[in-house]
Amino acid sequence: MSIFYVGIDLGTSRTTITTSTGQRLTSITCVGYPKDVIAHKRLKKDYLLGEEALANRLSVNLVWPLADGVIREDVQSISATKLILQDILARALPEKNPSDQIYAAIGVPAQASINNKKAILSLSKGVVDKILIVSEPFAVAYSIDRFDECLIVDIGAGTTDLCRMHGAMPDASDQLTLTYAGNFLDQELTQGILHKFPSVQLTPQIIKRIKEKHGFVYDVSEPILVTLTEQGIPQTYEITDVLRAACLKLTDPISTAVQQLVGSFDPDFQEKLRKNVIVAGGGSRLKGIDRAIEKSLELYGGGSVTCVQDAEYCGSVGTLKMCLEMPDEYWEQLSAAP
Amino acid sequence: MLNPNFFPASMAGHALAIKLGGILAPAVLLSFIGGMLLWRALHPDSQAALEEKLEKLREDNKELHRKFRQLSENLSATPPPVSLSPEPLSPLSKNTTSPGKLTMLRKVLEENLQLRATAQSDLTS
Repeated sequence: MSIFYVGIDLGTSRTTITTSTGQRLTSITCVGYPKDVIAHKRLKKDYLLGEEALANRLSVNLVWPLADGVIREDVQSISATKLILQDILARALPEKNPSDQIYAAIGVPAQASINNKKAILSLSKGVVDKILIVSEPFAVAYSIDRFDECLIVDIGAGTTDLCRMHGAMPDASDQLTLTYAGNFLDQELTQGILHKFPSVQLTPQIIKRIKEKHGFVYDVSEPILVTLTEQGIPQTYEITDVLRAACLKLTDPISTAVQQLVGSFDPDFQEKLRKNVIVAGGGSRLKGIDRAIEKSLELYGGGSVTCVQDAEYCGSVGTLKMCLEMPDEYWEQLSAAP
Repeated sequence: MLNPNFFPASMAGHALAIKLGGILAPAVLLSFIGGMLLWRALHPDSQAALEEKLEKLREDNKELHRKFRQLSENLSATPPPVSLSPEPLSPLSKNTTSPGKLTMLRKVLEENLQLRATAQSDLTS
């Protein structure tokens, strides 16, 4: 019997996994159920997962089981999350035999509720043998070995998690969870574009593509030109101001939260904290976000912000590291999920 | 006013110059060719050395071409440095953990044990 260790970042938009066998995978956190008999006959499956579900979204009812970083509390969402976990584990560990065991660590938002953690415990039953639930920004700090005075800002799709590290385990007062994250930016961008060009045709996928390719918070930028359709006719639209305004609506509350955590820290260590702000998660790819946060800290004496190199896998790498560094006697104390 | 005797004298000078030129030019050419032949006769090795150098340059050129072809083949065989799908990492094994990390992991464990206890009591109640 072998033990496989896995680190999982169960995200609102994407789920990533990193395993002790060296595999890492990412999958879109959605499940598609065939809309009707015709769709079921064509797809020949009871459900589709991730990218496949999105590719066939006209034939399926899409279920996004996570909202604001946590699992929705309905039965369908819980079973969909279980399917996603089973699928990503099977793909990441093809060499696993039935007698082998999986020890997993799953990252959750910093201020996830007890109910949500219990939901994860419950759905992991039968999927993994032992499970550890950890705060997502703490997992990011663990992945980059930063336990000294630093501030982790993990910008995901559902939540932005902030965690103040000070050489010891962070407690509740060191952590903040905001719902200003990637999905909020998508909504703002959709509203902004429709306000300026009311007749253009938009889908969440189009908005996501625009955001990921062009999102920025600089004061100046080259004109952002995108091709959108109006009644099926493609045309080029200039969305520079709309995009910048939407991105600023995301970065402003994050900057305020950074100021709040810096301002309430031990005054002797505030400077060190300001100079060690680390941005992770998909939101760290927003061009100029580091400089926007630095600018917000000018009043406090200036700061230094860096974005992590591996934004996508940083969380799951951190949880895997915790799994691997957790002594065996600690694992033994963790029984299977109740 | 021009000297009337000037033209006849000048014409004679020209004729003499042409005659001398006709004799001297082939002589100079012949002596140059003779000199060349004499040089080659006196230095037979220099020609061989030149040919040897030329041969060596040709060889070097061939070698460079061979290396260039090999490099091109290697480059086309190598995958692009940035891959859109992540490369698998090398397998990892259990590490020895520093005391500082152990304290933090102990706290993570305690929180998880507490969570389990709450979940268990919810189930039984």
